[in-house]
Amino acid sequence: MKRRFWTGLLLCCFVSAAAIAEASDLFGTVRLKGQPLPNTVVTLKDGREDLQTKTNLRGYYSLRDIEPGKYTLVIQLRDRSTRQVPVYVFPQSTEKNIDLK
Amino acid sequence: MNEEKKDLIELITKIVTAASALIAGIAIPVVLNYNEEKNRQSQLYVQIMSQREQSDSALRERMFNALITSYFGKEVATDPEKQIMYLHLLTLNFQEFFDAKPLFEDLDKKLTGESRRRLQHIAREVADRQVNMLTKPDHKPAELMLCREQLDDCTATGAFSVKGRQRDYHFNVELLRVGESEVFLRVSPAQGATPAESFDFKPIEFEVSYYDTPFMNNTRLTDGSRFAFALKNSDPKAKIALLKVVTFPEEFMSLRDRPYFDEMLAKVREENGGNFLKR
Repeated sequence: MKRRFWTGLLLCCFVSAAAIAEASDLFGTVRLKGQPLPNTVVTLKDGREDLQTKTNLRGYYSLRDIEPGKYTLVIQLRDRSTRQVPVYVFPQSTEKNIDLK
Repeated sequence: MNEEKKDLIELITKIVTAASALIAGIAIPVVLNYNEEKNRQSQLYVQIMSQREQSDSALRERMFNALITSYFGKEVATDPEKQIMYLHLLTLNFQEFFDAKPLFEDLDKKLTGESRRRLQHIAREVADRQVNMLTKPDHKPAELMLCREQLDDCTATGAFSVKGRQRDYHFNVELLRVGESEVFLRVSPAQGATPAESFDFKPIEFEVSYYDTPFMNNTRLTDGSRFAFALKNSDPKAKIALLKVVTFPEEFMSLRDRPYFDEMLAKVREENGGNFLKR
């Protein structure tokens, strides 16, 4: 019983470590017609757990610890409308600049 | 009456002669002095510029020797972290002269995990900086997302254009393979709608890695226009790559291609009709 517990714990640690090692980050600037969009909510959706952040005064956003893969970036504008942008997060730091028209 | 007229003519002749002598006596030395001063200024300027160029070259030479000697020295060669730092220094200071790709590739083989990611990050940073330096309002880099296996609207092929002196060149690019830190591409000319739009360019296949930089690895077209690829991201598992295609402005001249200072001065002098300081 004890051996099973330790084996399970070890396996959990290994899987978590692997996940952390694979984790990447996404960053970029959100612009509207060429102008930076400050204080805008940016949400990364993958169907499971959403990651959310706000752009700074220069429209810059960054999201950390993301598993590489395909996602949708949802940008909530001041008039409460949303824009969806498909994004692929690579194993390396990924830059995604968005210029909304 | 005739006597008076004769006297007047004589007087005028004397005045004119005296005035000419006076003007010649003052003006000629002034003009000579002015030209001499101008020549002296030109010579001084050339001398200062040459000395500055020489001291700059000497400083860079010393710096390069120190860095490269340390990089291959015992203390650094056995410490990959220090090797990364020295390589970073080399690429930051000598990116226009020195192709560090072999050193990056050699170090890449020795590293794993976080250190390897950091090395790739440094290389991407250098390439990014060069792309930014080459970016001009009419020469914006194109971003190409290429997928070996189709994903949404992402496919294995893309297209880009190069603005030439006389005309634009249109190319197709195909992603052939995605490796751990490199991708393989085929670049071919896009089929023009008219014969005038077609141009002579043999399709080429090459590798683009994180360690390729636009200044060092670029393709030159017949009219002197150039393009280069910079690998931004890649995922070997999903077989996806994100590349930037940067085209070079016509007037771009790397330090390696830069003419000798004397040649440059001679050209400026020639253009200004022998006067160096003419603006």
